[in-house]
This record gives sequence, C-alpha cells and structure tokens, in this order.
Amino acid sequence: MVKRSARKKGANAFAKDVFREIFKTKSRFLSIFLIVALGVGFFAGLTAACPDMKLTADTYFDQQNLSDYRLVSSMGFTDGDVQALQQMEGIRQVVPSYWVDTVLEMDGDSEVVKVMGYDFASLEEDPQNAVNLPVLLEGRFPQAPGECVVEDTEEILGVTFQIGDQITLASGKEEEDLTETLSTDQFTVVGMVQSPLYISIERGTSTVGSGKVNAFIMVPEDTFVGDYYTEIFLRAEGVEVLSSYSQEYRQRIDALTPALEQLGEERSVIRLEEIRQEANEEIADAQKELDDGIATQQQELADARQELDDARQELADGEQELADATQEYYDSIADAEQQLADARQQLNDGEAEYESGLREYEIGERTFEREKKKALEEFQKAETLIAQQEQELQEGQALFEQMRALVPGNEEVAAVLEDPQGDPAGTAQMIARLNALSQADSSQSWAEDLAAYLSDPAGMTPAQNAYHLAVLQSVNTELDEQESQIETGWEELEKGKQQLEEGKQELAAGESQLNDAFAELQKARRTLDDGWAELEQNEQTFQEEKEDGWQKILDAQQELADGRKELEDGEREYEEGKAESDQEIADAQKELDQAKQDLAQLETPEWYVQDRTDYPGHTDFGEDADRIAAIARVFPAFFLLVAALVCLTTMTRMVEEERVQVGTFKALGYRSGAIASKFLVYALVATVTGSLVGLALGMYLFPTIIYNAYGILYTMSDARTPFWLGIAAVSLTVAIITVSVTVLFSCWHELAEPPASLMRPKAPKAGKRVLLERIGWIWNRLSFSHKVTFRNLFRYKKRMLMTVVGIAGCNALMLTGFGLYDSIRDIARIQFEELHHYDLTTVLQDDLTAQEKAEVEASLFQNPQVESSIYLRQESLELPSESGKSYDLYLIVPQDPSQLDTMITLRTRNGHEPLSLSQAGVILTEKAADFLGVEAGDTITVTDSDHRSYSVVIGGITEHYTSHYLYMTPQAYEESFGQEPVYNIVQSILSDPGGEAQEQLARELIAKDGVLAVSDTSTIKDQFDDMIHSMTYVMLVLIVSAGLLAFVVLYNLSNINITERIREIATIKVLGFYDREVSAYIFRENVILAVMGALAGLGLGVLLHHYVVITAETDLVMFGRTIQWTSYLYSTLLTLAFSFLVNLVMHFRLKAVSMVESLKSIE
Amino acid sequence: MSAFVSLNNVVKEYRMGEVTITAAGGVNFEIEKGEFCVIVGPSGAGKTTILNILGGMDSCTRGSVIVDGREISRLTPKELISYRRYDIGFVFQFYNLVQNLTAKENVELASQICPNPIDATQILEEVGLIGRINNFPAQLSGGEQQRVAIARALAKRPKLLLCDEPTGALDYLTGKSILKLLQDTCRKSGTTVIVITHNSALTPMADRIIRMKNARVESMEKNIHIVPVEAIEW
Repeated sequence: MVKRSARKKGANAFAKDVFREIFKTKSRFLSIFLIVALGVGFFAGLTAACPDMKLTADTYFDQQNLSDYRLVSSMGFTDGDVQALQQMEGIRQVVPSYWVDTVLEMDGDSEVVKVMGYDFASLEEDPQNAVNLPVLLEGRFPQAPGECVVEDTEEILGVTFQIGDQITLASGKEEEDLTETLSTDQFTVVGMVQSPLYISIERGTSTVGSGKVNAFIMVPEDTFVGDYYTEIFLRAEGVEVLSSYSQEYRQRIDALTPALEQLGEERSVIRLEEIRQEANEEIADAQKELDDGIATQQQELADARQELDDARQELADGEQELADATQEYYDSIADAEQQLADARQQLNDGEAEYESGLREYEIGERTFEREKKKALEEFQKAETLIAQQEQELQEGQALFEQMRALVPGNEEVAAVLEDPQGDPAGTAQMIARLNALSQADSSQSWAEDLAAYLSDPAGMTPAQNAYHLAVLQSVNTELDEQESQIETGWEELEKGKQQLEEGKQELAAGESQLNDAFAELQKARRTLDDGWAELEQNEQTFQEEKEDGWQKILDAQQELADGRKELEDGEREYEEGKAESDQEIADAQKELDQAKQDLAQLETPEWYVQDRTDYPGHTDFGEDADRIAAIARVFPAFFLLVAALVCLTTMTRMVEEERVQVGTFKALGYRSGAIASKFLVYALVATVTGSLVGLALGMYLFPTIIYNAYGILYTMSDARTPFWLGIAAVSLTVAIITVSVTVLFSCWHELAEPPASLMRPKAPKAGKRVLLERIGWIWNRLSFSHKVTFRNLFRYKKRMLMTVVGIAGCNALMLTGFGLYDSIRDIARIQFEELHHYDLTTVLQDDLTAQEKAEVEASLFQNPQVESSIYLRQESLELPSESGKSYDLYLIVPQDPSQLDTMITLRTRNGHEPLSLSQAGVILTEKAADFLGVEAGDTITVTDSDHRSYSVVIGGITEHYTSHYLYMTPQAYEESFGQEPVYNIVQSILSDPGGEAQEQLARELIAKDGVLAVSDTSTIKDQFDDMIHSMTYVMLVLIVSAGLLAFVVLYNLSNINITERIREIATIKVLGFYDREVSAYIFRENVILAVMGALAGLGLGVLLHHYVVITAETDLVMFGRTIQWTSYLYSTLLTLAFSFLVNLVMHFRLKAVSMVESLKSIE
Repeated sequence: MSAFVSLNNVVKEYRMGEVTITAAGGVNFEIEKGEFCVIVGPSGAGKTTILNILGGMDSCTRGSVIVDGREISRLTPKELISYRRYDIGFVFQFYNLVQNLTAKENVELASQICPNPIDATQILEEVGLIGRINNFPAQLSGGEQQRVAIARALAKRPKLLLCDEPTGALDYLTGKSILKLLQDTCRKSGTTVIVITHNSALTPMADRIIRMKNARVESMEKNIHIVPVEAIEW
C-alpha cells in the first residue's frame, strides 16, 4: 500500500515535473511538436491522397451505378443479344441503350454532340437499378421526346446552354438524315447533368464532324427510332463492393471479359445471318423496283423521242416553205426594181435631151442676142452711113450744080475768045462768073487765070486762047464726070437703104424662131417633171411593198427559230431526263451492286467489349492517383527522416540542459529507465499531439488540395477525405518509434555517467584547432570573424550536419517539385515541339480505293493549307517483356524513310544525336527500351494481334515521351512481316496549325470515305497542358511543405544554437558588439551552412527527382529527365530565402537576449 | 574635482508578477578618476545590480548615473552598446571566455571592435601570459583564464574597468595575483577600476571603499592607508 501510494505520488510528481518542463520549454516542445506534425501530416496526407482520390471516384461510380462494361457492336444489338447476355453468369444487369453522334451548328462551328438515349422513366421509378445514373445539376430530367438534358459545356465549347434553350442537331453525314435515327432533331434543354461515364473532358472520337466528340446530351430513350440497340451497358455481379481501381475488381473483370467476348463471337454469327437474310430480301425488292423503273424509263423515253421527231419534221417543212417564199420575194423585188430603173433611165435620158436642148437654146439665144446686138449696131452704123452718104451726095450735088452754074461752057468761052470784044457785056459777065468761081473755090485757080486772061482781051493770042480753052474743057469734062458720079451715088444709096431694110427683116425672123424653140423646151420640161413624179410614186409604192414582204419573211423566220428552239429544249429535256433517269438507274444499280457486294463482303459483326478502363478519363484518373502515390512514397519518408534528426538534436540539447537534474534524480535513487522515461514522455507527448494534429490536418488538407488540383481535369463529386485508420496507425507508430529511438539515443550517454559527474556542470566543449588552420596561407588570410566562424562550424559538427541535411532536404524537395513540373512540361514541350512536328494525323482504311485515295491526297497533298504530308504504315503490336507483362507498341513504317524527319525527329536523349532509319535495325522508343532493358544491337521480339512473333534488331533508341513506338523502313517491314506495307496513316504539317482552317480540314477529311479518324496534335498537347496545370498545385504543395520543413529545421537548430551559446552571445554583447554584429557572429555560420546545404540539396534533389520521375511515370508515358537550370535557381533561391527568414526571426531573438540573465552564475 | 563616476539616487526594481523586488533602493556614490574602488557587501546587497547598471548592461528604474560627464542612465540601447564598446571593460567571476577561441583570439574579439586597441600579444604579455597566447581556455587554469579576461577587458583601453567577483572562482594565491594585476593596471594606466566583492578583507587595497547592504550604500570612505595586495591576508 505504502509502496504503491509512494509510487503513485512519485508518478504524480513525475507527471508534474514533465508537464512543468513542457510548460517551461514551450519553444523546444513546439519544435518537436511541429516537426512531427509536419512530418506525419505530410506522410499521412500524401499517402491518403491516392486512396482518397480512388475512393472519391469509386464512391461516385457506385452512387451513379456506373456500368462495368459497355458493349458496342459494328452492327448493333438485338433483343436476342440482350437475352443471351441476361442469361450469362456473373452479369447482374443488362441495359441496352442507344446513342448517335450528331452535329450541332454553333456560331459557325459545327460541334460533335453525342446523343445518348436514357430510360428516364425507369430512373424515376427505380433509381437503384438505373445504370450510369446522371447527376442532375439543375432543372429536371426529360419526360417527353424533344426534351434533353445537357452537360455543362462552358469549358468544352465555351458556351453554356441555358435551360429552355432550343438546339437543333444534324446527322453530320450528307447522305443521311438525322430523322432516320431520331424521331426529332429539335430538343429543348430542360436540365443540366454530369455523367459518370465521362469524368474527364475527353468525350471520345467520332466518325462525324471534326472526328472528336465535343459534348453529350441525353434524351429519352424512345426518341431513338432505330430497330436495334447501339450499345449495351452491363453491371457485373458482386463487384460493386470492390473499388473500381483495385486489383480485385480488375481480376474479376478480367475473368469475365473472355466470356463476354466469347458470347460476342457466337451472337455475331447469328446476327450476321439475320442481317444477311434481311438484306437479301431487301436486295430482291430493290432489284425488282429497279427493273420496273428501267422499263418505265424506256417507254417514257420512246414516247418523248417520237414527239420530238414529229416536231423536227414540221420544222423542216416550215423552213422549206420559208426558203421558197423568200426566193419569190427576192425575184419580184428584182423585177420591180428593174422596171423602176428603166423608167428612171428613160427619164434620165429625157432629162439629158432636155438638158442638151436647153443648152442649145441657151447657146442660140446667147448667139442671137450677140448677133442681134451686132446687127442693131450695124443697122445703126448703116443708117448713119446712109444718112451721111445722102448728105454728102446732096452737098456734092449742090457743089456741082454751083460749079456747073459758074463754069462757063466751052462754046461760050470759045465764042468770047474768038470775038473777045464781041459781046463785052457777055465777056464781063463771063469774067464776073469766073471770079466768083475762084473766090468760091480757090483751087479753081484756073478760073482766076482765065478771068484775068479774058479781062485783057488785047493780050489774047490764039495759042493762049487754045490753052485756056483746053483747060476749060478739062474742067468741064471733070464736071460731067462728077455729075455721073453723083448719080451713081444716089443709086448706090438707094441700094444700101434697101439692104438695111432686108437685114432688119431677117433679125426679126430669127427672134421669132428663138421664141418658138423656148416654147418647145418648156413643153418638154413639163413632160419630164410629170415623168419624175410618177417614178417617185412608183418607187415609194415599191419600197412599201418590199418592206411588207420582208417583214413577212422575218416573221416566218422567227416562227421557225422559235420552233427550232422549242425543239432543242425538248431535245435537251429529253437528254436530261434520260441522263437523270439513267443516273438514277445507275445509282440504284450501283447501290444495289454495292449492297450485293457489301452483303457478299459482309464480315461477321464484332462486339467491342469495353470495361471501365476504356471509359474516357477513367484510367487517367487512376494513373494520376498512382502518380501521387508514387510521390507519397518518397517525400514523406524524407520528412520523417528530417523530423527524426530534428528530434534528435532537440532532445540531445534537452538532456544536456537537464544534466544536473538527471544527476540529482540519479543521486536520489531513480533508475535510469525512470529518468529516461521523463524525456521519453516529454518527447512522446509532443510526438503524439503533433501526430494527431498532423494527421487531422494532413489527411484532410493534402488530399483536398491534390484532388482539387485534379478537379480541373475531372468531373466528379466532392473529395472524400476519410480518416484512414491504417495510415494513421502506421504514421503514429513510425513517429513514436522514431522519436523513442532518438530520445533513448540522446540520453544514453548521460544515463551511463555516475551521478557525481552529472552534478558537475559539463565542462564546456573545449576549443579545438580546425584542419583549415594548418593551411596557413588560407587561414592567415581570413579575417578574425571568419576564423571564428570556421572554428565554430567544426566545433558543432552534429548541428552543422543537421543544418546541412535539413537545408539540403528542403532544397532537394523543392528542386524535385520544380523538376517534376519541368519533367511533365517536357512531355508536351519536347514531344510536341521537338520530336513530333506534324499537326494532323489522318487514319485511313487499309483497303482504300483509288478514288478514295485520290480524294484524300487532294486534301492532304495538293492543298495549299497543308505544308507537307507523308504516308506511313501504323500497326499495333505487342511487346512482351521478360517479366511477363506486355506493352502496347505502335509500329511506324514511313513510305519514304528520308522524309520521316519532317514529321518525327529521331534522336538520342543525351546529346541529341540524330538517328536515321536504316535497314540495319529498327528504332525503338526509350521507355520501351527501358522496360526491356535493351539497347542498340539487341534483338527484341514483337507479336502481332494474331500472336505471331517477329524478331527485329534494334538499331537505335530514340528519345520519346508518350506511348511506345517502333520505327522501321519499308524494306525491313517486308523482310520481317513478309508483305509490303500498306500505308494507312498520313501525317501532315499545316501552314496555319490550330486555326479555323485546321478544323475545317479535319471536318472535310472525316467526311471522306476511307478516312477512319483524324486527330490533331494540338488537342493531345492541350490535354498534357491541363495535366501540367494540375501539377503546379502538387508542386506548390511540395514547395510550401519544403519551405515549412526548412523553416522548422532551421528555426529549431538556430534556437538550439542560441541557447547553447547563450553565454558566448551575452559575452560579446557585453563587449559591445552591436546587434547586427552579434547576429552576423552567429549567422555567418548559418549562411555558410545554408549554402552548403543548398548545394548538397541540389545533388540530392537530382537523385530524388530521378527517382520520383521513374516511379511516377505510367507505362505509357515517359517524363522528361532534365531539370531546367531555372528550377535549380528558383529552388536554391527559395531555400536561401527561407533560411534568411529564419535568420531574421532569430535576429530579434538575439536582440532580446538579456546579458544580465545569461551571465548569472552557472547553476 | 568633479567625480568621474557619480550615482544619484539610483533605484532598480524588478517586477515579478505581483511582487516588486528592489535590487537597488536609492544608491548614491561617487568615484574619482583613476581610483581603485572596491564595492563590498553580502550577497543580495545589490552590488552586481549597480555594476550592471554602471556597465550599461542593465538600466536603472529611477535616478541618474553619470560616467565621465555622460548621463548613461539616459542613453538609448544603441548608445549603451557604444558605451560598453568604447568605455567599459568587464571582468567576470567565471571569466566568460569564448571556449572556441584561443587566449589571443579572445583578446582580439574585443580589440577588433575598438578603434585604438592595445595589441593582443602585448596586453597578454603584460598580464603575464605570453607563453600561452595560442592556448584555448580549456587548456588554461582559472587564474590564467581570468588574466585572459582582464587582458580582453583592458585591450579596449576602457575608461572604466568593472570586475564582478574576479577572484570568486580562484584559489587564494591566484586571487591575490589577479588583484595585484588589477591594482597595478589601475596604477600604471590610470584606469578607474571598480571591483565587487563580498570579501571585506580586500578593502584595504582600495582607494575608495563602498559598503553596500540591503540595496543601499551603507558607507563610502576614502582609504588613506592603502595596503598593497601582497600584504593583505584573508
């Protein structure tokens, strides 16, 4: 009793002592608590993340009754198939359903929308048995055809449908109408859903539109009008209790699959027979219809031909008639024209005659006028002359008569002269007369002479007398002549007068004649004018008649042309009709032939058995979770190690501080175990509380962060973060064991010492020279404070090691975090930027017709949008490994191996040395080579789908990150496989990748016959980008955790450093070191340690990164193995920043160190 | 001649929860420049408190402390550090040498922060440690360690050398030699030296004797019959 109570009392005192200790040394307790909480939290959190993710997924799948299988068949399913499946063992539920891929036109884009039929009615009745239960997010489920529920397409299409929206779908195939499949193509959105079938943004491929399903909608099952089911969902018996990602589930499913495939083969034969029969009947019907059609066509064509021929004859007659009429017309025209021309000629002749008459007349008139004028002048002249002559005559006569009167007669004178005095009076008179004469005419000088002679009769002599007488005689003869001349003059005058008169008469006659001619001319003019008028009249009449006749001919021509055109139209119509009906018949014939051929070639339908791993995103999610698990295997262990180290230093220090007390206890008679238990309890209280807090927070926090990071990629329910007792127990146990061991280790030495020595203060650790001091040339160059620093560094080796390890760990973790990001980014970056250059892959049928091939080539090889394209052979192979696991492998055979590098770069990862395909060996991708542990020169064996094996020699290992590939030359292919490669894919580089043009091209290609699928590289790259994005959160978790780790470790160590050296610090403070100098004195060591730790951490980080990358990789993906220099930089800078932060905190701690307290005498 | 050190009504109180402990309750004294002063009193008399305040390691609650015309009780923390750095030399009972530094380095620790220090080797020679300058404290005896501590204090050429029970951890003879060293230093360099001790036997060697009891100065006297250290026995 006493003993027990004493023990109890002792235990109480002991407990009190422990708790007081805890209270007194809060910061030490806290540091153990924190590091344990951190370590355990991280360990448990990361470890739980993978099971949490899988649990979340599995719970979601279970709640939504996700089917275990989806069956699709190349020819659909019948009720017989469904019944057969229902009778199968291990199958719990068989749900036949319908789906069809359609095209939704949106903002000029056509999006491929998968329409899924769903039995909403039975969902309402019995949700327990509804398979693939959609989660209703908003609105309600459809109740009638024409209603649909949609998924949230914001991320997928960039558009969100609203409830009440109308959407119209199209079949996406030219020759097909959607109403053949669906009872309506118009749907009203009544709700928003998510489907457990689609947990990622992947929606699968399609044979319409761009070849990629963009979104799904769900409609009531009876919207589908097809006579067979297009898919069947199965739920297996007894697997719902198993986790979807567990081995057990996998095994159960793997066991069931062969049976399903077997059934599929059996049912397919039956189905084929059904189809054959049905098709044969249909073909027979079609044949008959076609034959009828041909007969009808023949008859109709013949009738039409006859009609056309008649019309043609009629037209020919009409044409002849017209030709005759036209000839006649021309003849009559010619006659009339001749007559008119004659008349005109006549008239013209008359006119000419008239003209010449007129001219003659005019000439005559002019001549007459001239003559007349001349004659009149002559008349006048003649009259004047006549008058003049008359006057002259009269004057001559008068003169003559005077003379005569005066000139004495010859006898008288002769009488006087003979008797000169005979008659004196008579002589005197004679003399007077003679004088008068001479006076009258002086030329009659003779008279004077004679007068004078006579007057002197005395002188008279006979000779003289004779003379005078002879003179007188000559005068008297002359006078006689004159007299006769006068008489003749008169006669002549008379004659002239008569002549003039005659001329005048003649002139008058000419004038009269002229006038007569003019009158005649006038008359001729009138006659001519009348003739012209008549001609004009005739001509006008003729013109009118001519035009009338021509118009008639034209009309007739038009009529004929119309008739001809009509005939041509009829002819064309006939041809067209004939061509059309021929085409129709040919089409029908072709269709029929095709149908016959198809039927002949009809292959046994194939069942595709898809289990959950084939559901989009399902496997990815599991792999993502596994990746986290792989990380969880490495990092937390590291944390625990650091925690243990921190714990060790802390507890060592504690034991040192408690040294005297330990001695006292020992002196009091406590056993070592009891004393040790104090430390143990102290540490374990910190450990257990720390662990519990760490577990509680870690198991919630880490999985939530990680799940939410992946939430970007997956659509599921909220994260489930149950408290995993197993993980908790393991964490706690590990923590407790680690801490216990460290505690016992740290107090081992002290407990072994005798109490007396324990009671004495432990001699301060003696100063020691360090190795560096022996190297004088370095040591002497160091400043005093640096010497001190180095001395101190080597003095506290354990702490130095701890600090280096802690910081190295921190930096290693961060580098791993950053490096992991680099590695994952490298997949997308290197794979799709450096290794794969093609933007588009077009998968073709093996048995491509020349026509189909030409069409594909037109789009891919002769398209300006396509920069280059090459043909390749792609084939799926299996690569069995020694471990028994076999890997899927793609065989790639470029048609022209020299062109391969335009699409795919083959190179070694280290050194980037280009590899080229040669006949000598195939080129294998790196990851596959790693799996097999083979290198260039080795021989590997691949198997094809028929389990035939082929051996090939590896010529090189190429850098590659996604999936496994084997490249070989066509010759090598032929050698290995014994046949020429059929090129079934085309890889293309586009001039404007990723644009609208690319989508357009993809759509154009997928619509072509013979094109099985089109995939664009950017989509795949985007998926990786999303993965990278989610990795940033994981990286952030790592970095923050590493930072916390660094902080706790550094803080703890600095703390210990300060307490351990408190007197030294106080001393230098007393000596007058400024705060800054004090901090520098202490922290110079920390800085050096931090740098050393950071450098060590880089090395460690590279190893850790390599390990994590290898573990985190899935079978199909190789991560990048290179860490970018920026990652080294960032992690180191962050690490140093953390250690700087700790120093900053510690600076204030140092500032607060009290000299007086610290220097108080040693206890 | 005004006093080199002058304390006027210096009060130091510590609050510990509800209890207020008075460590110095109105202390007044003056010390002349170049004097060797001994402050003597039993444990808990407030000697160390006064020394700490005088050395700038602690501050007084009330009153004024004037050293060489400067009122150090009004200095900012930073000014106090400078004060310690340039004006004060400290010698402790437990030497407080930095274990990781040799004798010479311990002296250098002080001299390197001082503008006009005495050369470390020289001062160590003066304190009689020339042969041990490269030894670590652990390799030295207590007396030798204390000599290093004194050398470290003197290397800065302080105006005031404050010694807190410098012989407390030493044996009789060693203690005597240390006291002699201090006295000689005072005489030779003219440094004002204040020694705290609970041993009143030491008082005859001092120029000035201040007796403390119960946080107050009991008496202060100038010693006219100075006895050399060698002659003192205790």
